[in-house]
This record gives sequence, C-alpha cells and structure tokens, in this order.
Amino acid sequence: MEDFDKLYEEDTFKEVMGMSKEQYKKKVEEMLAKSEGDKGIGHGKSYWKDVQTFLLFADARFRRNKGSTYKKAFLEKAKFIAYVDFRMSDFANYADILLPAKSHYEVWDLRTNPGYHRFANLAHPPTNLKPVGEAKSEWEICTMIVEKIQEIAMKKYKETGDKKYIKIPDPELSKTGYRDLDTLVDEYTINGQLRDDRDAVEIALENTDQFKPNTIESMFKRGGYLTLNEKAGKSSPLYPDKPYNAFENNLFLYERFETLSGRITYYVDDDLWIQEGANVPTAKEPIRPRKFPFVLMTPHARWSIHSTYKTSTLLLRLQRGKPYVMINPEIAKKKGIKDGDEIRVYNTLGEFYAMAKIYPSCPKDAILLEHGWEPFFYKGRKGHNEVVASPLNLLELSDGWGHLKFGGNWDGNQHAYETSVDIEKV
Amino acid sequence: MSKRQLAMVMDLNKCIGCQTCTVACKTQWTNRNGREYMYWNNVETHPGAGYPRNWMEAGGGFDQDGNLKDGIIPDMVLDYGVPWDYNHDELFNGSLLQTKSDLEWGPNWDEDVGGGEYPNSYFFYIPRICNHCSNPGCLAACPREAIFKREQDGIVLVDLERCQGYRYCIAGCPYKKIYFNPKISKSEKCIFCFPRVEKGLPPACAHQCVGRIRWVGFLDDEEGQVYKLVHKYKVALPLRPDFGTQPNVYYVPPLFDPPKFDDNMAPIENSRRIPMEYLELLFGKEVHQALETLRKEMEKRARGEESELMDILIAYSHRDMFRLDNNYYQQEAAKKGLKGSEFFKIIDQRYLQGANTQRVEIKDYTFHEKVLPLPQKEKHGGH
Amino acid sequence: MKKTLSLLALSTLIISSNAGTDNFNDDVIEAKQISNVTEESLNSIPSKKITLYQQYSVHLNDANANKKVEEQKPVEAEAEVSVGYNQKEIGILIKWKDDTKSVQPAMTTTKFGDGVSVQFPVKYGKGTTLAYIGMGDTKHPVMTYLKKAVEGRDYQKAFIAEGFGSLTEISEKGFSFTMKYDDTNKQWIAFIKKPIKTADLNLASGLVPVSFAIWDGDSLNRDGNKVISNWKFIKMDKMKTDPAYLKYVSWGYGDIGNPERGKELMIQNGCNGCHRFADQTSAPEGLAPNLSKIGGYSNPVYLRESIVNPNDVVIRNLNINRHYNKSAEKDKNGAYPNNDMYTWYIKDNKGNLTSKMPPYTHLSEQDLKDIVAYLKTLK
Repeated sequence: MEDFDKLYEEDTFKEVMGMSKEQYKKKVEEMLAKSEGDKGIGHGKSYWKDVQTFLLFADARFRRNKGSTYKKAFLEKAKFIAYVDFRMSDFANYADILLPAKSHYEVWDLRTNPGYHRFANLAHPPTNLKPVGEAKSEWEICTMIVEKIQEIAMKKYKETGDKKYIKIPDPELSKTGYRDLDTLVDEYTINGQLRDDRDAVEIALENTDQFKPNTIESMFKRGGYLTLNEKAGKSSPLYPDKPYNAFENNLFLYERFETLSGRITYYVDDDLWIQEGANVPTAKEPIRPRKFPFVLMTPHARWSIHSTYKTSTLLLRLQRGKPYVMINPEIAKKKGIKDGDEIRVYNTLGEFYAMAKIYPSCPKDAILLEHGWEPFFYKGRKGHNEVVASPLNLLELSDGWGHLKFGGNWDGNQHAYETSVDIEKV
Repeated sequence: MSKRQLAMVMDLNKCIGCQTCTVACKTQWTNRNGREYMYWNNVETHPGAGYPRNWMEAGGGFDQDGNLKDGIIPDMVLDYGVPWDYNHDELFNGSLLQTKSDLEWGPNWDEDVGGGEYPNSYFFYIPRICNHCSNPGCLAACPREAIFKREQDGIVLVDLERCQGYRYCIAGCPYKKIYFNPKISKSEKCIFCFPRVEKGLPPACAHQCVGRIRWVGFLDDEEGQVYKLVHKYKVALPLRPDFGTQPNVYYVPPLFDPPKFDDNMAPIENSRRIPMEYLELLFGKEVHQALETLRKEMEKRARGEESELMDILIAYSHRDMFRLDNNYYQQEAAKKGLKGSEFFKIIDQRYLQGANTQRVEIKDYTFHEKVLPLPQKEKHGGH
Repeated sequence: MKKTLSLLALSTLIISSNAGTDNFNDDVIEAKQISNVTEESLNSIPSKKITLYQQYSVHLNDANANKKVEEQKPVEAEAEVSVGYNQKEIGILIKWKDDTKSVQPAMTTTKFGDGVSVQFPVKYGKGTTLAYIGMGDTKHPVMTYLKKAVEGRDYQKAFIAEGFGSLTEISEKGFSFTMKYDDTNKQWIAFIKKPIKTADLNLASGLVPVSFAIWDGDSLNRDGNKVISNWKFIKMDKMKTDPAYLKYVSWGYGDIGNPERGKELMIQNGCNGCHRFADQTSAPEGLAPNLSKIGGYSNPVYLRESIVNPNDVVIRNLNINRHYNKSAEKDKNGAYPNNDMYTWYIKDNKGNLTSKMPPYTHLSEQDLKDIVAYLKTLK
C-alpha cells in the first residue's frame, strides 16, 4: 500500500477508478476482512496469512509476484524455506534447503491437454540416463519428506507418549479436523503403491477412465502416446475421425454453459462489477501515473517459458543474454541512446538497469521488456518489478456470484498497463 | 557440375521465426565439438544485419565476369557471437547470473527489428541454410581443393582430411554459410543432412518446420513441387542472385504485409510496408513477376477456381513436399502392398531405427490426413 | 595460342637478390658436420642471414589479409639459419624476429598462428632443373616440413607436394620440428631435425636446395599468404659438390644485363598481356602469375628456364573454379562452366600438361639476361 501511494497520482486515479486512493484502500481491506475464517468459500478471499514454512516447487517467486515490497514482506514472514527445482532460479538463493529435482525430460510423466487435442504423451527418462548429482523426481522427494515427518513424529510420540505429536489439528482443510502423522506415509503413498514418478504414471493409467485401456507398455509400443477415449471430451464429443473442437456440446448440442444464464455471458450484475462500471466488458483508461512518459509493457518472452529455459543453451543464444528494453528509434535518438547501451528505467517507486534495443515496432509512448527475466539477471538484483506497485484489481475480489468462483489457484490479477516510467542512458 | 541437384524451397509468407529449424539443426549437428557457435541453419529478421552480422556486405561470391571476389572472415565475438553460457556456479556465492563473456552479437541479436517507423514498421524472417550453390564460392576459394560437390545430388561438402583450416572458403562464400571450427582447425558447413537424405528423409530443418514452409526435392524432377515452384511457376527465387553463385535454396518472397496507416491511423488501401527495392535487392528483378503470379493465383483460388500453385503452397502433405528419390519409396511401398500415404511408414521406421534408438513398431501411425479410429477396447489386465 | 599470351614466368616465389650485392654466395648456407644434431650444437655453427619476401604471384581472396599485404609493402623478414648434419641426421636452426607472438587460439575464427616451413626438392643435382618455389610442380615434387603455433596442439607436419592444392600429408619417422618464442629478444627459434635419408628424400649431397617460408599470424598469414625465400643451397662441408650443378644454379647472379631494356623487351614481347608486373597491370588478375615481386623469391636460372622452357615447370592453377565463363551456357543445374582462359596449361588426354605460355626461344642470350636482370629487381 505504501508503494501504491507513492506511485499513483490522486487525480488520475480518481478519474479512472471513480474513487479516491483512500476509498480504494478501504474497499480492499473490507473485502479481505470478509474472508477471515470462511475458508475461501464465501465472499472475499482467504489468503495465506499465518504460513511461515514454505516448501516450494520451481517457483521463481520474486520474478512472478510484482512489487519489490512483496519480496521484503515475504522474506520477513518466511521462517523456513525448502525449495525444489532442477535449476538454480533466483528464488533458490533465498532457500534454507535446496532439493535438486530431475527435469521434465528425466522423469516419467503423462502430458496431455484435452481441450486442445486428444492425445497424451508419455515422458520417460532416456535409457541408461544417469541423474545429475542427487537429483530426484518430485514424487520421490515428497515421499522422502513424508517419511521423515512420520519418523520424527513417531519418535517424539514414543518418547513422550503425547498424541499431540501425531495428531496435528487442521480444522480448516482436513475433513477429520486432524492430520494423522502416524499413518502419513501410507496415506500419501496409497499404502506404498505410489512412491515415485513411474508409480504415478501407472496409477494414472490404471485409474483414469479417459486413459483406458492403456499401460506404459502399450504406450511404448505405439511410440510413446495414447489416444484419449470418448470420456475425455469435456466440452465436445470425441469422434474417431474428426479433430477435437472445444464447446461443441454447448454450441451445437445445446447444453448449458456453466454460467448463470447457461449462455455465453457478457453481462455481470455483481454489485462490485456494477460499481466499477464493468458489468459489460468495458475498456477503461489505465491507472498509471501520467507524469512518466512511457508505459512499461512486458510481453511474454519468446525464448523461455516465463523464466524456465531462459538459460537453456539451445534457446539462450537466441536472445541477448541479459534483460533488454525495446525502445522506439526516435525516442532513443532524443535520449542519446544507442542499441546495446545500458539504460536506467525509473519512476517514483524505483529503478532497474537493462540493455537498450532499438526497435521500430515500439510505440513512442511505451517501452517493451520481455517478461521472464528473474531479479538475479539485473544489476543489484533489482528486477523490473521495482517500478510496479501492483494494486489488486477490485473485480478480483468479488466472488460467490454465479460463475464467478475462484479456486485454490487464485492469484489476484492486477491492472493492465498499470505503471509508467522514464528512461535515461547510464 | 553435378549430375543432379537437390534443392529446397522456403515460403517466406509462412515463416513465423519460431527457430524450430534452428534448434533441430543445432541438436542434430552443431551443439558439440567446436561447432557450438555455428548455426548451419539460422533464421534472421529482414531488413537486418543477420547472422553473421552484415554477411551481405562481407564479400565473396563472383563478380559480373564470373571471377571470385575477395571477402572477409567474420569475427567470433563481433559477428557470430560467442556461444555463451551463464556463470551458474557462482550463484551459490550470491553472484548475479551473468554471461561468462561480454556479448556483442548473436544469431538472433536484431530479432524483429526490421525497418520503417511506428506504426508502419515492418520485418519478415528469412531462414538460411547453405545454398549448395551450382557455382559455390567456398569451393572456388579453397586453395587445397578440399571442397566438393557430390555427383549424385550436388550437395556441397568439405573433405575434412584435406582441409587445413586456411579459411579462404569463408571469405569466398557470400552467404557466410561455411564456418571455421577452431577446435579442429577445419571448416565445416551445412551438409543438407545427407545421412538422412540418403535414407529418404528430408533435412531436419525441413522435417521439423512447424509452419511447413520448406519443400525438398530434385530440381530435375518435373513432377516434384520444388520443380513446379522454381521452374514452372517461377515463384521461388534464389537469395541475392547477384552474388553469382547460383544458389539452390529458393524463396517464395513475402507477398503479405499489413497496409500502412495514415496520420489518422486508418489503413491505406493497396499500400505495402516492405519496400519493393528491398525485395529486389534480395531476390532480383524477378521478384515483381513472382509476386504478380502469386497474387493472380490467389485471386483465382478466391473465385473458387482451381490453382495448382495455391494447392502446393498450402502444403497439404509431407509426402508431396519432400521428394527425395522420385518414386523410390512409393515403389517400395507398392512391393509391400501398402497403399496411399502408408508408404511413409517405411520412412518413419527407418527414422526411428537410428543406431541408438529402439525399434518402434508403428501400428496405427498415419499422417495427419486421417485421424485414427479409437483403439479397440481390450480387457484391462493391469500389469 | 594467342601471341599475346605469352610469358611465363610463373612461378612464384623465391629469392632475394639485393641489387648490388647480388651474389650466389649470399644464397649458400654452409653446413657443418657434427657428432650430435641438437639445438645446442647448431647454435655454435655460424648462421646465415636470409631474407624472405611476401608471396605475390597468386592472389588469394581474404580481403583483410590482402589489405595487410599492401600495407606492409614491401614485406620482408629476415631469418638466421644454421645447418648441421652427420651420417644419420640433419638439423636446421631458424631464428627470426617477430615482435608479436601469435598462437592460433582455441575460440576464434579470425586469428592465425605464427609458423615456419622448410622445403626440399625431392630430386635435385646435375641435369635437374629447379622446382617451382611454391610447393613444387608436377615434374618437381617437393617435401615440405611445417610447424605452426596452435593453442593446445603440437602442430608439426610433413607433406609431399606437386604444386598448389596438392599438399599431401605423409608420416616421416624420426622427424621433429619445434618452435619456441624468446621473449627477451622477441624472436622465434625453430629447430627441425630429420633423417638425412628417407625413402622420399636423400639430402646426403654436397649442394642441397632448400627454401623457407615464415607465417606471421598477426598479418593473417597462412597458406600462400606468407613470406618466402628463393632456393638457398646447403653446402655440406664434408661432401662433394657437383661442379656442373653448381654452375647451373649459380647462373645469372651479379650484374648480368640492363634491367631497363629488359622491361622494354617484356612489353615488346607481350608479357604484360597475361602477367602483371610493376606498372603493367592491364592483364586480368589471375590470368598468369603476378610477377610484381618475383625477384624476391626466384633464382635467376629459374627465371631463365621459365622463359625459354615453360613446359618444364608447369604450375597447377590455384583452384580453377575461381573463374567461370559467364558467356557460356549454364548446365541443367544452373552452373556455369569454368573459364578456361584462366587455366595456365592445357591437359591432354594422357594427363600431360602443356603450359599455355609458349617457349620464348627466339630471344637472344643478351635479351634473356636483360629480362632476368629486370625481373630480379621486382620485389
């Protein structure tokens, strides 16, 4: 909220949002307060308020989550971080324990995306592949962690006879209200059936209706893939002789869409949406401060999947090796910036440094920076999130209305084109 | 100089610059043994300096009278770009993640830069491999006569036994598509994937192309689509024919680019952003006729009439796009009683039977033209 | 054959004759018999100073290297050579100044290493004419020993060659070639030791032709881009010299004629129709060897032979594909045929080569001497 205050101009904000900054802040607090204790089901949002120990998988968190104060706050709150990844991400540097994982192409896995196509591919380690160092699959890592937790809990329990070591209260998320650590391993591994990545693939093949009838062997024989059966068609029937087309069920077979009206819905009559003038899709002026001349746009990186594979030797040489900002040639000329120069990008919140790339397709009132660069690529570990405040989009806080339901993966979205910056040659 | 000539056609209207060809080639040939910096296949943005940087100004090729011209050898750091990596080890000491060497250029350094002014900026991609020229500049430049053109298909290769690493070939190639391997001190280049071609498979770059922009075949195969694009319809043109080496990679020039916007941001009808002069520089005067033919055939098709050219350019089937051995594979398939596109099984079986690959039984593999019936329900026996 | 196509001169390389001190003895290296052929023992043998000149007969196509050639005009290098031998082995010690030590590094495309080579004709002696200095010719094979400074590798090789592009590596037992850089004196010291007799080459003779080449990595030297000497002659102190051979190879040193008249004669005889030399640059580049620096690396007798009997030393072209015939029809694959005009010889169906340059036997002895006197000044 401090960042928010620093970055936004009162008048611009009011004009665009129809409320003062003070009113906005009050609104957010009100909505969040509603969520206290409601398990994230009713109105408002639950959020991880009290968690202090983190076990994170492949999450370059300080690239992903915007705002530099987020990083400060997270690190203050986190008492212990264990981090699992196949590469040294920026976040790995902050972990108390690093657990090396096998990469996507060293483990057994099933890959599919029904909705787009009707195949599932089998990923498997190449024959005779030796793992790098002590790298293990994520399944194995979790099994080992679970075993250790049970071992320690049982030891404590046996020493003291105190059940509190094996019955951990969890009123919010456990059906029984307790986590039973004495049976944790059996529960987690389904009585020993599911201990590693290959087990997971086998169990998925045995128990997932849409994959049937298939085994690893039958997939292998076919060349490493299976064709999903007719049960896999979620929004369209699967025909043996036609490609998969999403939403055939709704558009041609007249099933209801999962909306209040049963149709494709553009109108939302949630109070908050109406208040925000968003009850029908509406283009709005961005809230970014007007005193800085350039919108900071961060399109998807071309040679990485977010931050992953940015450093793959196959792909890395297709970019410039360090963060680069694309600038309109005329602007660059005015500012005395040449291609390859180091430039400083700044606003009232902060600054970061990057290489200039002169780019005729860049508008004169914007600069472009591919996303996916983690803070450790930038001078002083100050990434491009230094210049954003990331206020929540209020619309994200409405919930429990019609099809506006957000699941566990809720990660509040912010405003588009939310910040602006200036640049100078270093 | 050779009896037959293999050629490739690339349709620039369909290239999206995804670099899948680049990665296919790199994985197959150039990720090791001193070749790390080389891109036998690269995709570059035009207008632009390309890879290696400013190759079009680096000399080589033949003058108007057919005499070899002097050229320069691009620099590893300034023109190719070092095959860099990051300082992963130092991360444990809290270091930033940085490249181990200072970077000046790379194979995709000026990606999407192009020309023009916003909002009328423009660019397009050109994938480049060795042109396997009919009068190769590299071959002519070698004082050791270590470069030769294969009799059977005109593929240009370096005899590594004879090569002494003098690098005149690099100066002599106007496309800078032959590279010096500093580790073995010899020159190396795109080999048109000849080990694959001999087995009836197209080069990896062509086979992997997701946009299906590449055709491969013999120039004298009048039934082949390569012949039709190059000789019958004359819509595929060599790059920089003025370099005088008679390239055998041909490009269908870009016909489409967005119209220009006027001051009120309204599109100007029939305007082109890519200047014709630039296309002329790249493809010669013939580019006008080629674009005219493409336009006419497209209109014809739009009116619902037949157009063989448009059918070819739609790239329906790999079977027709890649004709490496005339009807060799079709004949082989006929002997085995395979019908239609089933002949491709032979190729894929060969492909999958690499020295280090397990033999894979392709039971129900067909091409995209026909989707399989669902597998029969079997009794689920577990395992 | 067109009358204008004439002259020959072909060859490329060698010799130095400093005008005024143009003396056969300057080209003779006195070799001493010693019990052990080692670098130390060779150090005690008096050395001979030799001069090497930039190869200019053929034009190579590296623009940056060619720029260096022109910039450094005239490119000269001096080396000191000592030779020692015994019944079994012969050793040569070569020292030359080089302010910039260049070693071909592992990860660059544009850097070249310093290097040195020693060349012997396979056949020599009475009745044998001198070989073309640039790696020999079809009738005069040569043995070439090469040493280069390359990072991470011991680059020493032995080759047999019969002209441009024909260098073929062979393995020779007992041959070693080292080079090391002396930082104090800013010079390279190279030492070659090899058997005095092998199946390919017998050096046990009173007067052995030898020539040298030095590559300067800093000047982008490699291959034909190098400085070379003319044929020098190793005089073995304990072996007999054939007086006839001595007489043959020592022909033409000193003041033998009028260079100015020689130049006029060359123009009159149309030499400039094919060859370029001095201000005569109307001939197309590559039509025949460029004679502009020929005096730096050719012995007088070789120049004479080349004029009166060009078929004796028919030199292979540098890659005949360098010129194609734009006026000929393309083949079905779009290739133009090579331009025969640039081939220096005619090959009959038995593979015999005849030089396109006719023998200039009509020249008088004095005409010849005047022309050779002129050619000697070109360097």
